[in-house]
Amino acid sequence: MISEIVSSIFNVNTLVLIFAGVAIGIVAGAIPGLNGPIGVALLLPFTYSMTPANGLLLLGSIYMGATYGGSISGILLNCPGTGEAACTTIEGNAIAMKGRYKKALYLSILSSGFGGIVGLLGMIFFTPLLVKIALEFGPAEMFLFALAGLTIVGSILGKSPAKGFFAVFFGLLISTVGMDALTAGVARLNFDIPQLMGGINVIPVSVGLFAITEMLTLSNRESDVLSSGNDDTTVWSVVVSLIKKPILLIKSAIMGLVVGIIPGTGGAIASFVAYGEAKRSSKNADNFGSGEPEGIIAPEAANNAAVGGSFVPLLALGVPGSATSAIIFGALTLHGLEPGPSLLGANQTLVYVFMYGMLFSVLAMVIMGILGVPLFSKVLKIKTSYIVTAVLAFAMIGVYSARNSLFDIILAITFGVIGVFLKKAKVPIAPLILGAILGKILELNLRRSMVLATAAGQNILSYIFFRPIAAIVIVMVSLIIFANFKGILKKNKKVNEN
Amino acid sequence: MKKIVILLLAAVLIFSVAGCNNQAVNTGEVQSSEEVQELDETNEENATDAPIEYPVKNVQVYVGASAGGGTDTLTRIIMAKMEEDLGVAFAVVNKPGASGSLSNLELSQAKPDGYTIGVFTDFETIGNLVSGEDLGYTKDDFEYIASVNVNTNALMLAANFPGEKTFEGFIDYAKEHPGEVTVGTTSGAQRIVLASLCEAAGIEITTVAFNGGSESFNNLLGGHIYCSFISPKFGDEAIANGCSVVAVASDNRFSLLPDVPTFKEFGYDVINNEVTRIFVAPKGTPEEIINILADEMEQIASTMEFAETLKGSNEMVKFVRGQELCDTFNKKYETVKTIVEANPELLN
Repeated sequence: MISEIVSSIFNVNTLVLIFAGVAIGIVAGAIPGLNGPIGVALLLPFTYSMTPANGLLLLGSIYMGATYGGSISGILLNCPGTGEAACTTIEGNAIAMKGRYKKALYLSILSSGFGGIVGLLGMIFFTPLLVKIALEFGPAEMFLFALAGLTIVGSILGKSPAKGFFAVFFGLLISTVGMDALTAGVARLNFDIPQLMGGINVIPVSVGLFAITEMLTLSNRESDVLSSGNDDTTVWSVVVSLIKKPILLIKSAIMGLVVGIIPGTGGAIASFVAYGEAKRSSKNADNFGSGEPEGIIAPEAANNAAVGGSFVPLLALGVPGSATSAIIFGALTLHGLEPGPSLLGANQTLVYVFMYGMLFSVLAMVIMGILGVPLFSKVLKIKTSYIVTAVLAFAMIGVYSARNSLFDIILAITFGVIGVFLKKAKVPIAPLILGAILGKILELNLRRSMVLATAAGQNILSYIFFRPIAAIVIVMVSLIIFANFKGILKKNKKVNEN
Repeated sequence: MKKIVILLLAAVLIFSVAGCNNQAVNTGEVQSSEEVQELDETNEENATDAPIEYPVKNVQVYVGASAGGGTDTLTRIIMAKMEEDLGVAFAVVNKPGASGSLSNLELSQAKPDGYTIGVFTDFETIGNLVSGEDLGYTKDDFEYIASVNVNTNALMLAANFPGEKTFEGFIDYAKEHPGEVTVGTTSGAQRIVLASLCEAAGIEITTVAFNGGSESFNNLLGGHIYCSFISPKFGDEAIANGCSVVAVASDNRFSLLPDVPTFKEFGYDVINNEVTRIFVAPKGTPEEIINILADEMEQIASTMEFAETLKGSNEMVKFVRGQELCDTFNKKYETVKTIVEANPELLN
């Protein structure tokens, strides 16, 4: 069987597909609006005629590539291609604007590669253990988890806490629009627009606020190109600097892996959590927000680690762990295969070819990512008028592809305009996106917990807090809040001393 | 005004391709002479209408759910076959949101020329229609092409269910502990079906709404809820993880779970929760086109290969078209509507 697996992977066709998949993924990820699930869905029809193993590896490679690709546009253009890259953008673009764009790009691809490998190894060796953790997450745990995620906001508030809190509440408000998922049909904040019944997708919001706003601002700028300097950072110097931070890398990757296995979450939340934790534990906490390398390493390692994690429930329970693995689930059934543990019994070779083949997708990603750095950097030398046109055009395609909805394009433009005002008012965007992502998880699971607590005849507070995972999460929340308060107090002290 | 122009143009197009009917019909790989005859008959009835050449360009198929789910997978399986037979692309366009309502809304407003069709799950759409919200469309805004599958919902009990792990055990425990039994659901329609069970059995349960079958199933396996009312496709995995599958909600047993009795068999008169996915076209799509599509789907649904593929995704084949399809749908709609009107609190 081993020889069968090896020959299936080391096959020209398969290797070409893995490289093609990663390349498609990187491009899709880099385009604002397009992301992993959309890239995978677009390519799904092409896998009908492939062998199941090749089809799965193509889709898996796209997922892997797209998870990294979003950081390229984030670092260079300050518009993250995917939600996963929102945190990376904060630090990455700041570093790039100081002229060290190559350093930021190398940090991102190398951390992504490391995270990708950790996530896949976790999936290959620890699936039975990890799936037990995933099943521990019921509504109460999910609520606490989302609450913990929200405390990360404290780490991305920017200079003014008040503006940061405004942003996060605006994000939470956006998440409440649409038909209430817990009742049969109570519409909220839909202003009698039928298209708003389905809620506001995060994609038009983030594309509007990041990409469109940034392009509108850019079109107003004096200089012709984004950066005229040259960065001579070599890949080896970045490798060396990463080797000096093993704990940060491993910690972030494991967080990504664990967040990835929790159904209903994904790489974006993983990257926010890892970023928040990196800031909390960093010696350079003050430097976060103005170009701290650790703020690239942590989210990038975490979001690619979440890729492997999201396959865990798929393999162990036949239940997808993320939007992208849901499509891969569909691809399996289209080939007449039944996802889940029975797959390991009936099609052992296929499962192993997929698992080990995915390691090659990380390799392909790192090779292309490193070789691509000089190429990607050329964007900075292109006339901004071309960049603005191209990015806006691609962003529209991306937004449309998410739900094949013209209405989403109108939404994205609306948010683009709102974004210009937010930017003028110096309101940070990342907390808003985090609020929009976490709002639904937070609300639905709190209300589910209330229903469950009533059924169990318990008080809602005791129902939520007296459980093992709750203790871990509460400790984490307290640590993050404490660290952020300390940061604010320290700043105030400095101001007073001056 | 614009619409009239488009209609005129369409009419001109239709007339200009007159006489190509047989050729068009024969592009399908397998077309029985009977079907050709049938088409000719319909044409004779409307002597003024020239025969339609369809399809001559790619067709868009709106799916009101994300890629990878059950509805999407079924649609992709059948559309891949349609492409082979009819020689044009049947492109699946996912328009998820509001339990399929966004897709239905756009479909109802699309040009009724046969090049935009769609699919929805009957109970899900009925659930939306009876919700009382203005959806922008009604059930009469569609032409019903065909449905090719049948599914239902099954009641599964978690490994940590406190009572006896049978259907009687479920009823007894719920009777003794009103409101304590938690049941995971994924749609308003499911909650309405469960409400009809509660009424029939005189029990009180607590339903917990989840976003999809996977989420409900995870919570069942993790023991966060006592029961799940969920697609039978999770049955094998549930049993493998110590859960029990105790009853199905359709009038007839579900052939993939032949040992699981129905609610009816236990003596409870509950809504027949036979779920199907219906292919529809915007109102006004020419009858000839609806027939061409339905004929093609009927032919695909009759193959063994299709049955095998569906079995892989735990679906069963059942082909329904024409008046029978409309009647079944309307009957389900009326039943659900009556129950909701009698118990408006179900919507909250």
